[in-house]
Amino acid sequence: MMPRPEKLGDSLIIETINRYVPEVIQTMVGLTATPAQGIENYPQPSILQGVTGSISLSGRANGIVYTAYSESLSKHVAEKILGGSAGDQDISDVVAELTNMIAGNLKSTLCDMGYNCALSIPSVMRGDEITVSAKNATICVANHYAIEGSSDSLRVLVFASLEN
Amino acid sequence: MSSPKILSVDDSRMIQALIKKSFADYDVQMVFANNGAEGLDVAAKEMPDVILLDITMPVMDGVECLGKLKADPSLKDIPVIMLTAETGKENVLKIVKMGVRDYIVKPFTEANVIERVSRIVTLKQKAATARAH
Repeated sequence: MMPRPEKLGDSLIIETINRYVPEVIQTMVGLTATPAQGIENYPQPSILQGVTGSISLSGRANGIVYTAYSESLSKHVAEKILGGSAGDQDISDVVAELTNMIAGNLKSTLCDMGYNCALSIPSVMRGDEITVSAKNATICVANHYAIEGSSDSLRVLVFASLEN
Repeated sequence: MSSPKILSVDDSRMIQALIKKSFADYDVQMVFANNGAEGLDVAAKEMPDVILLDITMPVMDGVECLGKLKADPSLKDIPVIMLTAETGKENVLKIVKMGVRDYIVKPFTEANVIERVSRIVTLKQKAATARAH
């Protein structure tokens, strides 16, 4: 039996972020990021806390990528990259750039499969209850990444739809 | 011969800090710009030996900036290295066709940036020496 297209999409996205999130964190931050199993059909709207980076995809693939850090994890990562104390602006800048790298690599994978799309400029949100969702998303996936040296994990969510 | 001048055009302070750190032990002059429009101004004023150019930036993105650099007779010969997280074939072909000299894929290591820039600066110095003879 042929798998349903949206299931192919879910597993493709999880596989892709599981390839790039650890690579980005290892190369730029120098820390290991160990993926959990990954969750398909992730519920939305979802609630995020702390510091969240987001980037939209638009084109034959539409959607949004979120990277969610706790306040302490975002500070840990920013200070590791910058090699010193990091203020709120530094943290936002680091979260935005890491989100850009993860989303950019996901975009490249999608484009090479024929799902051409463009990326927005990254934005960063902070708060104790950030509600996120994406209208008409048929792919809703998330995964947690255990970050070396931190008790908090990085959460990456992708809500998307692929045009046939 | 004066030390090579590198212009880094990127809206990310994180990337600017990493580029600066990469060349901290080298005899180079670093100049910075926060977007493509500013990059064009700084390039015209400083005439760098090489430009490191991000793609996704506010105000003017790297692709538009590259197009304007290549259309300007006084700036078109400055080698440009694009920094991009977008490695899709279409994206790479587009920037190569526009005349980019090389590209660095994000995430990148310090060694990677130094190697790519050094390759261009060395080539440029060799070409200048050959012209002088």
